[in-house]
Amino acid sequence: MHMDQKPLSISELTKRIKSLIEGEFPEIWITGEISNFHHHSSGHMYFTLKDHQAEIKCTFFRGYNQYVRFKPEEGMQVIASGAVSVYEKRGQYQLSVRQLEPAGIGTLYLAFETLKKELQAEGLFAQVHKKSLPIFPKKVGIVTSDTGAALKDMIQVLGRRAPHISIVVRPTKVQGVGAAEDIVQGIKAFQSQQDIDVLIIGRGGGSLEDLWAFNEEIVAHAIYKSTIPIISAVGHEVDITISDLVADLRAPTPSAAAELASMTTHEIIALSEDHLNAIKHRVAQKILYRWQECDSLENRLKMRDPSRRIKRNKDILNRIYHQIEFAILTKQSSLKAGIGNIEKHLISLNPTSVLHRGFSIAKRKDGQIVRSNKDLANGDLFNIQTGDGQYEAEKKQNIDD
Amino acid sequence: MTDQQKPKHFEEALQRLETIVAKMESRDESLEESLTLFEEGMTLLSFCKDQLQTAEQKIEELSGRSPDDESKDHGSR
Repeated sequence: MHMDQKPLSISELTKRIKSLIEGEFPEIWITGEISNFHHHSSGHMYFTLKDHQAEIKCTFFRGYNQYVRFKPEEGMQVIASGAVSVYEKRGQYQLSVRQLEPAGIGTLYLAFETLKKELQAEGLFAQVHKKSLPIFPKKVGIVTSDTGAALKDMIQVLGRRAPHISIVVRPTKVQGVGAAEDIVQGIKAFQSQQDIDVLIIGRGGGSLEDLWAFNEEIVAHAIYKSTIPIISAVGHEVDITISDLVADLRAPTPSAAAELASMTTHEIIALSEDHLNAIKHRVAQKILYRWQECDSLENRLKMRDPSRRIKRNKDILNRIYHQIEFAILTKQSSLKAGIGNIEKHLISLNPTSVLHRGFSIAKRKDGQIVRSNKDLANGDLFNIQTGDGQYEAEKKQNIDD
Repeated sequence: MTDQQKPKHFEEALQRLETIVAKMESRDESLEESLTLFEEGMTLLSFCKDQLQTAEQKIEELSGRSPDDESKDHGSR
């Protein structure tokens, strides 16, 4: 056996595999069947996704799975999105799932999300492109199915609230093959009619598939290009379609769209009053926040009020004054005491006081004090000083002890 | 850096006040300096409060000036 290069350690190899795999699959969609599903008490979900030839372990952490809109179960066909990650310690790779959808609905949902992102990036939903609705339209165009309840509802609402408004209907398919194209034609047909003040496009409720024509890109672009303001009213309140997002105004239902297209003076006044109040409220709120800031700054500023500092400095000065005073007094009394001691000491050192206690001093005639018996010869005369006087004496001889 | 010019805008004044307070909190400047800062701070503070009061009054006034029955909702405040 022959080795061309130094062998890699397991960690080195695994690290390289990890960076290869994770770099390749940072965000992918896969489809498969759930098996070994386990919803742990920690909230995390663990399962395997498989088809008939392969399988991959999946983790679906709580932070992500809380948004899942169905109950994942054993054997279910799903699409999952996430990143492939490598668990180095066990040499395993797995999918960290971020989003999970049932396979059927998933494709539509995916298409919706993808298109939504695209159109958003293109600026089709931007507020600046939204046209404002005419306050008192005279002629309303409707693009919808002529067999649905939606059209009946809209005609009824408009007739009741604003009988002076004339209605022009362009019947279209609203679901199934060719519906999107038909809706686009409907919108385009109205563009050449100068007298149409507002367009309503929409349909009644249905399944996600039923509403799908309103999620098509061509419809979105037709709405975006329309020179007439468009109200989009698709399905029920909860259904939001691409068409709703691009339109100048979204109405929760077709009837609501008809109401919005036929506002009465009273409603308009009420609406503008609402707006006015909202603005007033916002400004008042802003002022309140500013007050809060001012108050807090005031507190902080007053905490640093120099008069506090002056007071504090005065106190310090006072304390120092007292310290100095005390120090001087102490010094003075200790000096006094010292002087007293010295005095006593001096007094105790005064030789006469010793004489009073019974000692006497012998002095030679030349005045020198006798300290040793050698200072005097036998027969020498000398003086003895006592406490109260001096005597003359004569040395006879040395006395041995 | 004690340019005691009059503030022109509320935001400007509030920002300067914030700076002053932070400065006074962050280190021990001399007594003289802190007196100057405090004085400027108090001036700014009263400027800010005046501005806020004026703004509040203005809102009240505008509310009162609304057409027809609007005035009885807000005029009494």
